[in-house]
Amino acid sequence: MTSGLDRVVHEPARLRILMVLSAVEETDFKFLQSALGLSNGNLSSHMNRLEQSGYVKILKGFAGKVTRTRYRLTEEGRLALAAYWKQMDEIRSLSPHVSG
Amino acid sequence: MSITPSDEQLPSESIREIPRWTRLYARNRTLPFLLSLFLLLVWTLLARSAARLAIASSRSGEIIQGYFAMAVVTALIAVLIWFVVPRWGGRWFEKITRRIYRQDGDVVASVPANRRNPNWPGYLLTGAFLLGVPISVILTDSGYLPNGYLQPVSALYAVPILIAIFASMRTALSTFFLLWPILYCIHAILIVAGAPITFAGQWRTLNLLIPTLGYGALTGVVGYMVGQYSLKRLRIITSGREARP
Repeated sequence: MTSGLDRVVHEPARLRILMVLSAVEETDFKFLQSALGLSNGNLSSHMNRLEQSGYVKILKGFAGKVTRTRYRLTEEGRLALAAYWKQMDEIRSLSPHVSG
Repeated sequence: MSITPSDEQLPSESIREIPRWTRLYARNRTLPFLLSLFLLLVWTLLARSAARLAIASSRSGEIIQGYFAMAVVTALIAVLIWFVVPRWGGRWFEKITRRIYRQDGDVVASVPANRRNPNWPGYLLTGAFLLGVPISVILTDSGYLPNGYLQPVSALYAVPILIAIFASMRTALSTFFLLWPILYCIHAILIVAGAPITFAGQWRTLNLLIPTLGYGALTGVVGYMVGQYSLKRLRIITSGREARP
């Protein structure tokens, strides 16, 4: 039917994170947490996984004296997300009765 | 690492809407914009009072009072320039934005051009608009510009400038921003057509304050409501609480 799905992207929380990041230039931890309703630890672990996969770039900086961590989707992440949805479309077109 | 799709449930189609609502929210975080309009209102009122004092002083021969008023006007213009230049006012604006939205976190629809390359046409347009409005008010107060023509004449520069600002920042601004020049234009057309919406006497400053700060504030409030709705939709989708077909 299709060659396997990317497990990093397919995980529901990570898919949502990547979809949020795909719409904007950059965002911070707080916004992702607020938009996705994830706990600190859960979000951190997903962000680390996404960074290790090369899908997300973590930018550390300062806002005054406070450390500020921002996240940006990499080109690799953008391509992985596009490939994932292409595979999803193929699966759905082959199995119209499959529901989400 | 990969898996076969039959092993897992497929994601909901509504997840595809996440970028749309995220982008709409990011482009409609208008509270700092509304704060800027309020500060501009305060600035305009101060500049108007100082200019009036300067004119009155020059007519009555009060030299010291006149110099004082001119010094205040000069200081106010310096404050406006500081506010418009991204390296100074822009950084302050970013700081205020983070403080206002500290509960929701920070999200940038598009990194402003000024953080990549200096966007001088954009700065000049914003500066021209911010300076043009109070100058028009002062000119009308001084009797150099007829009261009835104030708004339609200002529309000749304000509407193209607002559209140009939108065009130069379209990746960061919401489409709702265009509501501002549209209302400005309609207001001017109504005045030219003879609609009784011109203020006189002590209220004549409203001829320009309503289309500039008033419609700007209206645009900001509409944007804010759209942003809040978008955030709500985003949270519903990400939590999986959306209605499924």
